[in-house]
Amino acid sequence: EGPDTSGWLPEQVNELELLKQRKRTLEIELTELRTELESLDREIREMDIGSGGGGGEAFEATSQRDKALLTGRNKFNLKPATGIAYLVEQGLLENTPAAVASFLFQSTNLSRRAVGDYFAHSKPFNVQTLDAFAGLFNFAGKKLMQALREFLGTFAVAGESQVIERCISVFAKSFASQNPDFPLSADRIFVLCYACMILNTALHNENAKKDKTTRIGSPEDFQAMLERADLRDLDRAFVRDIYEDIRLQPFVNNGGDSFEDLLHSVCNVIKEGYLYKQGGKVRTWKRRYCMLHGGQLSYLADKSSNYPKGIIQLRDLGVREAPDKAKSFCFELFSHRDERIEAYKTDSSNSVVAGRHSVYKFSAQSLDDLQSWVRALTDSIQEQRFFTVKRSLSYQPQPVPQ
Amino acid sequence: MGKLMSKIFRNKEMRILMLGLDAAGKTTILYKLKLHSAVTTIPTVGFNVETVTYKNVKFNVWDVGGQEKIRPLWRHYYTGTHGLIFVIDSSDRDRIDEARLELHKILEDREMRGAIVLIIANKQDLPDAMRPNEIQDRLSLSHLTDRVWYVQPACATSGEGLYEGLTWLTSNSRTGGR
Repeated sequence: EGPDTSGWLPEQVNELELLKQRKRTLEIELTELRTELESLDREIREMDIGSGGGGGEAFEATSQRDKALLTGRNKFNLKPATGIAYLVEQGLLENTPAAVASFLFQSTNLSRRAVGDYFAHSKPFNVQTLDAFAGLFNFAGKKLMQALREFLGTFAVAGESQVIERCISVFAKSFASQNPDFPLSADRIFVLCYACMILNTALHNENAKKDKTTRIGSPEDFQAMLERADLRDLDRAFVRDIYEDIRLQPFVNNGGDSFEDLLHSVCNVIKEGYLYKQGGKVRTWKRRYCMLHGGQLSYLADKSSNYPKGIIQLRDLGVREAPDKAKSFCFELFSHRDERIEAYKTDSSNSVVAGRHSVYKFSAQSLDDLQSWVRALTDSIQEQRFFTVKRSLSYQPQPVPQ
Repeated sequence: MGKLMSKIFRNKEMRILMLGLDAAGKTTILYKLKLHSAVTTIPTVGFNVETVTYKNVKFNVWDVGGQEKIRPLWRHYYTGTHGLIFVIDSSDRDRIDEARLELHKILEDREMRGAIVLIIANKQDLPDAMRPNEIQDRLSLSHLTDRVWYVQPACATSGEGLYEGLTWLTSNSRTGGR
């Protein structure tokens, strides 16, 4: 790139380098300016729409629809049947098994546990929905185990024998109809896959592994089990492959159903990350995954935990930086009147107890981290205060003047 | 530890199958019994299995069962079963006949010959619940000759009757208990 510098004076080469550098700096600044410009544009557009200006009505309609969809999803995650009923009532979902199945199949942000709960019900509507749901997968040309894993990965199948039976039965039907050349009938695929579920339990369930009386974990047992169930003629190598497939890798639901997943689908998590939290009675520091959401601070033993260790209600609290001898970047949540802070935690016996402290102290990872937590907490506390006032005045929203 | 010592302190182990129609309360019973053991964090895809130790006897309880086509699969597991817990929704009069058929079908299995039968008459807290006597009739338990059985009234949600049931299993089992 650039001119041929052979025969140039050193000063000339230097000047060229300086020019190139200046050019690079300007290019970087230009990119930054462009990004900022775009984000400002976006903000202006949103303000325009928000104030009910041109095109606002259409947006409002979509936004209402999005809001109702979100509400429906949240309701579904807490109580599946209620969520479906709500969406039907809002006119967003047709009340047929096929429509509900495709909603469950396509929606992101649904809790796998909630979908599993929905399918666990034996009501005809739920059973037909499960049947339609299995039909939506593309199993054509796939290996049996691959297809089964794909199916089981989309929702948390309950551990009741009848539920497993229904799930495996619709899977077998769908797989067989999409793979007409597969050597086994739907009925026999069903029996084989059901045996796979028994094997998966025997090999990977912690309690089953402890059960010394179990005699279904060896390859010979698996073969014998199939033979008893009229699958005598299956190719031995085929059976052995299935056995190894399950032994090496348990069936899993992809992307767990942790508290974090649930929270993200139910409400807006404002800030999250690892902090050290000081213990109440014994003043030790424990690393906790903290999540700020809906006027609460939840802390979990680990990011992947299913349930939080504790929840602190932020309303009417204060937050301040609080230097500590043992840890850097500390801040604390405190009660203005030195009262007990509204908080709950699970104790060592796993029961929920009320907290007894008027101060909770945390340590962040860096100065930046500290400041950003303090800012986010302050904002959230402010917001809570605003909502409280709003509620107490039974505030009615006023139309925005044009 | 010497051989003698380990013999004395070794817990006895019982293999228990649990059966019952949908919504009879099997899962609730398992969870209720499990409160004394460690809570598993990541549930495995597959059947509910719990191990419960009570009065020195370790119970391995599997939620099994299902239609005719898959019964042969479980049969492989039946061999050596000490006891069967059959759970009944005492308030569900509509399906008591279906439950009776299910129970008698599994007891016909050769592998279940030595198993003692504990019927848990669940949901006794509901106003309309059938009492143990009525359940005994409706399930034709008197037809079970040469079989040790017992109907234990229970309420799984509160836990009432469950440990009484386990006690009955330990004291009546020929192989596992005393």
